[in-house]
Amino acid sequence: MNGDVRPELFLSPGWMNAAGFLGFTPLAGSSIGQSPVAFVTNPISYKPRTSAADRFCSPFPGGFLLHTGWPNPGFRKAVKQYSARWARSEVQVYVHLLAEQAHEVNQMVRALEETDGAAAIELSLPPTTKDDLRLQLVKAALGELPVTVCVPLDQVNAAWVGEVVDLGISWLVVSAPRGMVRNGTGGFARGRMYGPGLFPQMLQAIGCLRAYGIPFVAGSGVYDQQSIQALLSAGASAVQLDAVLWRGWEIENSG
Amino acid sequence: MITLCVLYYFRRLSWLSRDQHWINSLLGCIMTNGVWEIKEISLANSTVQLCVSANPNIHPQAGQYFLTFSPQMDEPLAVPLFFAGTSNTDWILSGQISTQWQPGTRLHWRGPLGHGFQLPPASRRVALVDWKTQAYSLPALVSLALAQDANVVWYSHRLPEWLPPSVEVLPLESLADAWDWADYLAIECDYKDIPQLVAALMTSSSRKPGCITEFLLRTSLTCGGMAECGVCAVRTKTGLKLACKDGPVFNTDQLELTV
Repeated sequence: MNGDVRPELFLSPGWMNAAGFLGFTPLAGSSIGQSPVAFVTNPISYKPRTSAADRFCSPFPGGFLLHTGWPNPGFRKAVKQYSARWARSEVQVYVHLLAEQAHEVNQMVRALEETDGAAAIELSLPPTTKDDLRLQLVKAALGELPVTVCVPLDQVNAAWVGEVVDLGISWLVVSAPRGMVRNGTGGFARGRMYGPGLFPQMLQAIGCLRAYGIPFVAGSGVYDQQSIQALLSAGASAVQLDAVLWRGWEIENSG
Repeated sequence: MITLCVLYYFRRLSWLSRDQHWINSLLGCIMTNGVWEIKEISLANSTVQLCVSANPNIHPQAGQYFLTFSPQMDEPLAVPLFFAGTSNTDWILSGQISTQWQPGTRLHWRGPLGHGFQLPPASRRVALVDWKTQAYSLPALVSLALAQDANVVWYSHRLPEWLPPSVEVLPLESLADAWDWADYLAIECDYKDIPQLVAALMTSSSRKPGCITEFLLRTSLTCGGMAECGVCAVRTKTGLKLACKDGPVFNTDQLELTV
């Protein structure tokens, strides 16, 4: 730990959405019959992004691979368009930023510090980048708001995670791992992996996450309430739900 | 509720058919959810269809869809089922149905989602095009068109055995003639096949369509508009639109069609 005072935010045990699964503003209700403890916005980049030209959703046994390109209107327009609703939200809003350049992250975070409604910043780092750039991006985000960093499920053991934790972030979030499928033209397509088939790997990763000594939000593969309870019991501070929010689960068994 | 009923009445009149997306947006608020039990699964023209009890409070349009899943099965995503018509007090639904589903399987659903076809009541020459797919929603338009005494032509690469005898079937090769004859054209196709379809329809991309033309663009409908995830994005003249909530049926005037 670098000795800086980490901005405090109480992380309630319960569920919240993973970035990219409920849009840019909180919904009035949920598809799973329970209220979330927080709302995470769709990923927002410094510049506007359109859907990827090679976007796809490809099922595989136990899950599916998704590639969208994280379309969003860009930081300035997103804040202008959505910040009033973030401020009115009954649950805390965590603004998810796509970190690409340190100076862009710095500008976005300083602007959010002046914006009502953003309770924390959730940062996702480029999937293929050098460790020193990762650290620069996280350093640029540190400030008055709590900062949380997404760690893909297949990288919870990576050396850069411990270094990021030492910078003084508030908590870690386990996000979707990346994978590849055949694209039908003889090549391969890359995307993020979701689905219940990932849950055993998520549960296995808990031990490693606890060793970092900071709170963490578990995610990936959670498709029922028993899985939420299992992750909370194992030490997760909260749980992020992804595609099950689109699909729903059986509410009458919610006990 | 009264306001929504009035809006629904106006939509049924359909004289607003091409400029009524604001009405459809409001009607989208009627979207609801519930549980069905599959009554029957059948095969019609290579397309698997489900039969479920109709919900008397909902009036889905051809082209609209429901997102469904069976809680007994480990499906990672909801399955989009398209409204394909009615049979007595039942609805016929069509889509990429799980092979594990059986009669008696419970399905959780939400919908109807998106915008459907807007068959103008005045149309008397209706062309329906199954562009190399297994048409999910066009069957619902057949009965609607026949009910308003329209002449109906079905363009397809295969001969559908279930069509009423009054419907003429023509091969896709003669599709360009549809412009000269039809006053309403409904097309169901994969989004990736748009260039081939446009090439078959027009000699050049600048040619103006001669009749009201709507496309049901088949693409991944994963989030049902909840997330604006963008995987179903479709190129239109005003930028990218989402098939899951702005479609899946688009008017040809909206779409960016390039050969």
